[in-house]
Amino acid sequence: MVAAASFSHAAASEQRADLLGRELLYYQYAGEGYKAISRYRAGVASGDIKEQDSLAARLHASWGLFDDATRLYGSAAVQTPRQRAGNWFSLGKAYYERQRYAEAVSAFEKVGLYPLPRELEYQRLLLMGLALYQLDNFAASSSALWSIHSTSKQYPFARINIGMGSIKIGSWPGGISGLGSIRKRIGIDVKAPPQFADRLNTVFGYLLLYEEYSGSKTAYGKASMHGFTTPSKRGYKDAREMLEAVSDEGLYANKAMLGRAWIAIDTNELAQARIILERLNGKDPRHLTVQEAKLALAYVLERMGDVGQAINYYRNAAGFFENERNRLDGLLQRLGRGELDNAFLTLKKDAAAQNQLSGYLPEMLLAPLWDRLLGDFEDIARLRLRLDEWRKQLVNAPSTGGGISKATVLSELSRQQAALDGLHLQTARLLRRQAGEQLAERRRRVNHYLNQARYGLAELYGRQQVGGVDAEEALLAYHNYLKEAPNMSEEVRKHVIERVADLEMELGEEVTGIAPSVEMSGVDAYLAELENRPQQASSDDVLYKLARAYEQRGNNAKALETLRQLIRRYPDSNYVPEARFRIAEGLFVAQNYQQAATAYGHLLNNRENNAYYYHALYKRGWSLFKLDRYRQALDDFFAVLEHYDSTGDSGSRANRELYADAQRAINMCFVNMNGAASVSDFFARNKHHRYIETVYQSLAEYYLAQERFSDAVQTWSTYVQNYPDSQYAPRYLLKIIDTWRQPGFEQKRVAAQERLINEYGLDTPFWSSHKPEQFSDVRTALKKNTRLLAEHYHIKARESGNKRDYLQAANWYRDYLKNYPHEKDAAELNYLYAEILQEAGHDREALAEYETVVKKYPQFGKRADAGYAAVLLTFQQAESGPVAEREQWRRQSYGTALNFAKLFPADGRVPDVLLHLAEESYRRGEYVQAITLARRVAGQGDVRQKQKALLIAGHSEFETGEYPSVEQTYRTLLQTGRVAKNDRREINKRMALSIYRQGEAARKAGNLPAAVEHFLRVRKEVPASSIVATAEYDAAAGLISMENWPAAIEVLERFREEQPGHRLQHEVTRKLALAYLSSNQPAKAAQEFERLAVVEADAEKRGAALWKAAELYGNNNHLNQAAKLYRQYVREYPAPFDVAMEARQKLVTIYSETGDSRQRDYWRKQIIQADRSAPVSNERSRYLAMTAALEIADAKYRDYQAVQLTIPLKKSLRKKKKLLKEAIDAYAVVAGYGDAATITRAGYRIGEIYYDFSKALMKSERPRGLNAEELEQYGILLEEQAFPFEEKALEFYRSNRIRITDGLYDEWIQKSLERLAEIFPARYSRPEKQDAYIEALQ
Amino acid sequence: MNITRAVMMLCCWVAWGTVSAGDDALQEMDTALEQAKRDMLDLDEKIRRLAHSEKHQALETLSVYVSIDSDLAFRLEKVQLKLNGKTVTEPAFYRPHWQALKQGGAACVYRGGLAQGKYRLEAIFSGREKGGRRAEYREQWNLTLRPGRNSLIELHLGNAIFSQAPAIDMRVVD
Repeated sequence: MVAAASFSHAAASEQRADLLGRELLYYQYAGEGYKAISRYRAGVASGDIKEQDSLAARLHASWGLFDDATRLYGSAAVQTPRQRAGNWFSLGKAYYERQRYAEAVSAFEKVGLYPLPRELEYQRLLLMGLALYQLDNFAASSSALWSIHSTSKQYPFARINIGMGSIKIGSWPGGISGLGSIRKRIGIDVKAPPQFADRLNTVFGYLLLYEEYSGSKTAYGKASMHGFTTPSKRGYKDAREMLEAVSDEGLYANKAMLGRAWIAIDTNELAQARIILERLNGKDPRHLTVQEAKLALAYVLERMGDVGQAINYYRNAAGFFENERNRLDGLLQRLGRGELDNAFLTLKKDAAAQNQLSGYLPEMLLAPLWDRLLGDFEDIARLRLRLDEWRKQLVNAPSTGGGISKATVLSELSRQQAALDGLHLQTARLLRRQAGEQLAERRRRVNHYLNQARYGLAELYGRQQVGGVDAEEALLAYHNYLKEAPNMSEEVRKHVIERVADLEMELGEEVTGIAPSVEMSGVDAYLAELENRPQQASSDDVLYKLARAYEQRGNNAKALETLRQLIRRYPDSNYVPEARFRIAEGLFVAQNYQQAATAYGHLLNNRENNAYYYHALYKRGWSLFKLDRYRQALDDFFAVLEHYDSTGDSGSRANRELYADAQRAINMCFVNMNGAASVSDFFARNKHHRYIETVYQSLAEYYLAQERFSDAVQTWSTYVQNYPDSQYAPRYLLKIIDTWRQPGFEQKRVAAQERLINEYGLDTPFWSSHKPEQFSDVRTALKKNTRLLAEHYHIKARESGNKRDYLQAANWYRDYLKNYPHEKDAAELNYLYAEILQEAGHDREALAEYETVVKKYPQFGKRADAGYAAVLLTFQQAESGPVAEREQWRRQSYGTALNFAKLFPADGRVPDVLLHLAEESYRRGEYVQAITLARRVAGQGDVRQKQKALLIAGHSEFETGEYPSVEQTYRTLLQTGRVAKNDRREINKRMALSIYRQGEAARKAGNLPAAVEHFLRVRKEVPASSIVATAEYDAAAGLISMENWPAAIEVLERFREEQPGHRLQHEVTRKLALAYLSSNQPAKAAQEFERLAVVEADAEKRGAALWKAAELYGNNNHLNQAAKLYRQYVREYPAPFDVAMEARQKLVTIYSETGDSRQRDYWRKQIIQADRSAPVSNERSRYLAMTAALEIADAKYRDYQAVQLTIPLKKSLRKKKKLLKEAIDAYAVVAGYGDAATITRAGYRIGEIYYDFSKALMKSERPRGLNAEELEQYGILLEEQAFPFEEKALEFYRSNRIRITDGLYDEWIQKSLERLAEIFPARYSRPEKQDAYIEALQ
Repeated sequence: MNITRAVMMLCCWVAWGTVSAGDDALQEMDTALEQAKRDMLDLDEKIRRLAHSEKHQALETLSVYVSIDSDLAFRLEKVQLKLNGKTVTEPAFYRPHWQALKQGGAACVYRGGLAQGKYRLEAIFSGREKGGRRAEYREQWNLTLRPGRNSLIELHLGNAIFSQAPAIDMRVVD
């Protein structure tokens, strides 16, 4: 299409400013900060852009010129709170983009004091949340991100970051649950770009896969940690589902495929794994996942038992990784030399497939820091280029201008050049370093893969070797592995060494062993000395030391022997109690517990002054413990406790430790007996009741420390069961709940929470015997756990889709709302209650609860969301609910939606809600309602909504026949902004039709002028419409009816020109013919009739038109055209005969007038001929024929008369005689028609011809040179020749005379008589006697 | 072989990690870069003044801009502009440029001095449809450049309500 455009349109300066403003925006967003500011300044200087400090500030901020930006924001002219908010937001965003997170958060927080447009506010919250996340302030980050509404575009990004934040701080269940929730909602009520879903699915899939693989501590993991190859495992199932949802072509395709392959491997679906890996293996080998696939494929083949193939793959993989490692080494060297600096410049561009680094460094594009560095690098490069351009430009510039000298500028340019060169180098170095680290890491990984491949190869060679194949290959592979594998685990190392040794021995070589080195200690030296010189052990002191030395050396037997020697030899020595204790201890250490117990018992005989008494008691307890005599041991341990508790002598550190250890020992006893059941049994049969809670608690804590969560819980649970009315009972249940908060125990935690509320809820008997004020902790926990239970079942329901879970959640929400209706979070929970009811399919109840939220909690922040949810619910049910209920829901939806619009008029979702209603109304044919709703939206929505609303309004008005409104509505729609060409076509079509319909209505009402005006407007308003032709035609018809011939002619002529092939063209011609005829333009009318003569379908009509055209031409002296058409008529329409004869007669007349005698006579003959040929001629035709014959004859007669007889007489006589014959023949023809009047004329003329001939002969020129006699003779000869002619003449004259007797008398008879009288005066000159007779007869 | 597999899996997982650079080096570079940018803008100002004093007015008779609707389904990759059948510019829109367009920016794709008179402007927009299919759309307009005007033309791509093809509109500002 070629559209005509002219610069004559008036364009407001605001339009110019707006466009230039958007140009600045473009540079700013595209990261070309310099251009943005430069254009701004140039625009301000030229007057195209109004100087605005806030705009300038934004541009400076976005280019990282924060000081300037802050200064400009400060000096910005009169600012509204919103403007100030916008400024802080822009500054914060700029800081964020430069990764100056703390400053970004500070700026964003200032925004919080002012209002921002809704979507911008969500963007602020997202960026602030992300900045806080970067600053490791996860709580604040989470808070900001949670504030983003689910309808916002930012919402999915917020949710994924919340989830990742939870994971980062170790709250796996929360994180995974959050990610799972947002994943499920994408595409349902949350919109997100496809790449987002891919990323989410990949991250989430890998989280589950990784935790499943590593047997993590998360909810998913713990629930099914019984092995890695159980196909039914939940985590794998979900991970696979997520990874399969990732697009095959996107950024995450390879990673997802690899994940799926590993799942297939772990679930033993090796064939499937092989297919995936083979596909992956065919992709870009620079991709890390593809590289890993090479190794994994070999591994799969190995697992499938295809050892030969696996060896091939391992060998190929090893070769590939070796090459890859060499390539990376090369890249690293080139990077170090700066040869790849240019690659950094194109790294961010779309066409980076060719970039040498991008294939290896995808992280550079993903990590914000790198992205920024690359941006700076590009920026610097652009600035350097700009400097070069300036330098060239300055060559042609004047030496001074604007108060500046060229030399100065050139000098500054050089300085700037140096500065930028420096920065370029600095950035390049930084990038090189970063890239180098990444490449080195990449190399490390590749190296690792290489070693894995070699290891695999070695293992398989080894296996092959068992089958009789080469061991040397295996040995070489092991050696290679050993030589290069970094960070090999001890287990692997040991295995490899063993294998190498085996192989080397098989190959007949020795393995170089690795023996531990042993050093001699100081104790050994001492013992060696005593043993060499036993005489030195002559005192209790020496014996004591010797015993200690033996003990230290680990020679307990010798130590005990030495101590016994000391007691035996020096029974009174101060060392004796200790020696006894040490003997006991030695026996204990030597695990001779029976003797140890006895030995400790010796020390218990005397409590007084016995420093070892309680220690011995305590150790005897342990000895008994070791002998599995727990009950006796418990007596000793409780005795220790009672001792310290009764004496209060547990102050010293040692005693405290002993006391604590005794407690631990008691725990151990109970642990080794039967845990909590033993405790229960113990206290049922023993005293020590003051230790009940302590023992239970201590035992539980012991179990907790051991991560024996079930036993800990069982302990508390036993207590609760035994002492349900104890104040500790609900608190122990809280401990149980806390314990089950450990990942993997969700079900148990939930059971505990339910038990807490069922047994100690606010309506249980417990509270009849306890004072609530003493249990504020319990009551707070009851409230909290009710909420947690509701949330738990809510999440579970969303995951499982199980209706029972939904109802559980709903029940807990209901409980909460019943027991804590005035809590701050009641509104939030009521909202969630409504949501769960909806999700459970209890739509009516859900609707009621949404409405409750709206009505009951006026301060609730999500009140509008609840209202909107109610609206969505009714819309959804009306559309896809049970068929029988849809109508009811639909009616409901109107009320709900209109109420939402009424309560929250400023809510951004109102226009879409009303639009939906309007669309629905239109669809159902409720046009009046559709119009009302659509008009409402048209008054408040954005351009898109407005356009859609106007479209609905226009369509509805069209359906109701409100054509004037339709036209106006469409006109408004077209003025709303850009309407796509295709849309405009549709609108134009309908608009044209509506104008036409207005014309029709006016015509029906008898208002023809108005009708014509509307019809004519169609072409004017919508020239391209297909209905223009009809409208124009109808306009012309109207004008004809009004006899407004000039206007009608104008319209019809235009129609003919503009609608050349239109089916109404024939009608237009007819109408034009009429109009021209009626407006007295016969020639033009004749042209139209002539056209009709061609185009009319009916032959009769064509003939009539042709006749009319010929007639009009003839009447208006266009004789040639008339003759042409009459000729055509005769040719084409020989019948009816009469008309054709008339046409021939017309032709005779025309040619007579034009003097074309040849044609005239031709047509006379044609008349005669036609008459003769006609099967049945009639009087008229005969008359015409006769007249024609007569005229022919007359003409012949005249021709004849014109010839004079001259000498040579022979020649002229022959000619005259010929003409005589022709004339007479012609008159004979005339006479043949038998018409009396014509016969007389013919008779007279024939007579005249003969008479004339005789006279002519007589008067003919005499030959020259004749003498008188000869002349006389000649005369006589002539007379003889002339006489018969005269006689003939007389015969014809007489014939006429005789006719008188037949009662005829006319001019020709009269003339005949006259001629007779002239020739025979005597005979014929007498008066006619018959006259009298006749008169007498009469 | 489970040991091998474990290590491999770990590697794959670790690949999701992040990178970082030394804070000091960055801080130092930031400061120097800011100063260089300021100097650049000063130079820009001086050179503009110098150019103006030469009374060498650039013939900025015609500037052509490209803009899009933020939710445009068609991913514009390149625009080719022809004046009287001759290509005058053919800029590509890489990711940052595309984002800038999506955020409401207008890209100035051509700025040049032209003699007054009639011209035929042709724009060929090439890129990818929503499903990834490569597509190309072209439009032509007749222009009349009048003397003494510095004219701006905006070519705008939007989504059509009824059709998949983008709606291409032209607006003249002068």
